[in-house]
Amino acid sequence: MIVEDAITLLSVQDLTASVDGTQILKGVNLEVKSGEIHAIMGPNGSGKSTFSKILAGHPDYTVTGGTITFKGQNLLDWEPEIRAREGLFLAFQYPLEIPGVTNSEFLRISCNAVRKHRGLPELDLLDFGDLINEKLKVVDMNPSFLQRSVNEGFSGGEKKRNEIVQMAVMEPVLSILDETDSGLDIDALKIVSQGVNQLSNAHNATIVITHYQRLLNYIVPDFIHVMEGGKIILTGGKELALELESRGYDWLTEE
Amino acid sequence: MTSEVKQLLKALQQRAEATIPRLVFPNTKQEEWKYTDPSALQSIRWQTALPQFESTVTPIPEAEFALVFANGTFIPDRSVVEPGELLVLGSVLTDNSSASLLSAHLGKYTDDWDMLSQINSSSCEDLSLIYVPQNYADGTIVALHYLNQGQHSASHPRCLVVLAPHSRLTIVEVHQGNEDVYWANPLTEIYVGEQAVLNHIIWQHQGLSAFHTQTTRVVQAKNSFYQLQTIDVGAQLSRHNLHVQLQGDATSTTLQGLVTIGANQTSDTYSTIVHSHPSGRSNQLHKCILRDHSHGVFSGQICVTKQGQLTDAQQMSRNLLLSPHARIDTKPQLQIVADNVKCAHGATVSQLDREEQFYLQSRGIDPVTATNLLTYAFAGEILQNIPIASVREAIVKLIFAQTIV
Ligand SMILES: Nc1ncnc2c1ncn2[C@@H]1O[C@H](COP(=O)(O)OP(=O)(O)OP(=O)(O)O)[C@@H](O)[C@H]1O
Ligand SMILES: [Mg+2]
Repeated sequence: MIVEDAITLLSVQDLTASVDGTQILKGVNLEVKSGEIHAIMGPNGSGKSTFSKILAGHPDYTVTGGTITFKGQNLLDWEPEIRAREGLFLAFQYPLEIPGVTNSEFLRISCNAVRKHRGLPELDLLDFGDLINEKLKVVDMNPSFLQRSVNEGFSGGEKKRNEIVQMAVMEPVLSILDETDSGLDIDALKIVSQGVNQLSNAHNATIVITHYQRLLNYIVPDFIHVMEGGKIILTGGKELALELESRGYDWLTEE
Repeated sequence: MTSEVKQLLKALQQRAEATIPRLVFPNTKQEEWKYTDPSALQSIRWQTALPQFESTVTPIPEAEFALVFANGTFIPDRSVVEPGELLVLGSVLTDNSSASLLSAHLGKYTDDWDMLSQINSSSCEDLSLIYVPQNYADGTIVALHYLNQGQHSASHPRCLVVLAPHSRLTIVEVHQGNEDVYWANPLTEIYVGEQAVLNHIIWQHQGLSAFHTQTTRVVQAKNSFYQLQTIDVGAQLSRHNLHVQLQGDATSTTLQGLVTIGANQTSDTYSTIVHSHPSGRSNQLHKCILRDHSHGVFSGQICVTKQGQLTDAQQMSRNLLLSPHARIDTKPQLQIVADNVKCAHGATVSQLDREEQFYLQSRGIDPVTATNLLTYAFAGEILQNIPIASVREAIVKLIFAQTIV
């Protein structure tokens, strides 16, 4: 929702970036204010995941130009873990499996790292247990997943749910959901979308990256951006999704 | 009187003393010592260690029996021995009933051509003995605490473990010490009788200046089960000579080794399993976590003789290098004569996965904790099998505390 007196959470200007010497982002501009929901769409390989990983601080990508300001500060000054603790969250398109680390341990360490940074007392096993049971409800996830290794053997959809559990635990101010909808069945899509909606409020913001208009029926965006060739080439309202759905992307570059 | 016991020990010593002059001290020209240079051991004038100790014993509350040795000498008033069916002796000199066990087993399973075992035998004035009678299967845990200290002191503790048929036992050896340059050269002989089950844990946590050379000789009778977990953390140089010999059909052997070292430490595991009877199953997993300039060595022999038909032997060596200066030498060796067997072996060397590290960091976890978590995850497969909770937790803590920079 667009709210009055919203503060600018993220401001990206003329961002260019490369990986292994290949220029991928070629001047991205984006401004996200608190309370807003943005969607980024665009053809395969246009740079959406690259953009999100750069925001999260992935070491493989080199920012070659432009600025990223997060909550008024230079995001690029911060290591990935500081970005996360400051409230930037990325739900990965392909969440990793970490055999040998239990989900509950992982979530608790993550939760306490964030809490410590924010000046909140760390939670012991018992208090964390209470908290996590609440958070699991956000996406209706079975507590038995806590005892399993992080994402190991999880189905595609279960991994995506697990990402949202992490998001719920970390209470971010800016969440970037990279194709969280892909791999979810019809019911799960509803549940996860409701979870995301439940977590959004006037003080935080969400960027959803998706290929499908269907998600945007559940998570209704205030803005839709089209990324193509490492740039945002068009920004519109939620009605743009329907147009893209019927016309594809070609007409945008042909004009 | 204990004279019979003394005579047996004397005979063992004399036999070793007669053999030693015919042996050469281990050196890198020998195939078995190709990757680890033990010459430092020879350059020090070792003195017989006095039974002194300062270190505190790592408590293992689950253990009903705890034998404490200071530089190899049994310390009765620090030990806990419950009288009962189980024979647990810190010193065989105190009990003449041990004579028949000694004459049946002592020195029978060692390798006469191995210098380190012979050095142990030659200085064997006493030993500890654990005998589990037939059908005794109470889930009893016996802890052996070896405390070491003393600049240039050497100790050669010896232990004999005999499980009668259908019995069951868990033993845990803890080797620890201070920062002195000392040498511990323990030797454990184990006989696992028919249908008996032995869980064995060796936790080597010596001081970082220590030399630790350990020999474990296991003989398994028909249908017996032997499971070993070794955790190697300490010593500047540690070497484990592990030998499992089958004496009957359908045995089961599980060997799991976890090495986690840093600085200039070397840890060398030299293991041999001889499948000389049909239908034996063995499964070996050796994992090294190597930091700084450390050096890990694993040589794993699996021999299947002509009699070893239907053997199923699996061996895997996995290694995690946490530093570009760390080194691993891993050499699996299969010698198979029998034709109807299932044997597989493999080795992997890896570094921490950058993507996994980034994933954890993106969840607010700092890089050091992330590294520790992933390292722990690598070790978890072995740690979670340690059957004694207090030991498992202590080792988990230890691995978490090893921060990597
Ligand atoms: N390490 C790399 N080396 C070279 N090219 C890379 C590397 N990583 C990504 N790319 C390229 O960067 C481009 C953008 O990839 P990115 O994953 O950001 O696309 P995307 O918009 O998320 O696509 P999709 O919709 O398929 O998820 C692709 O052409 C990809 O092949
Ligand atoms: Mg993508």
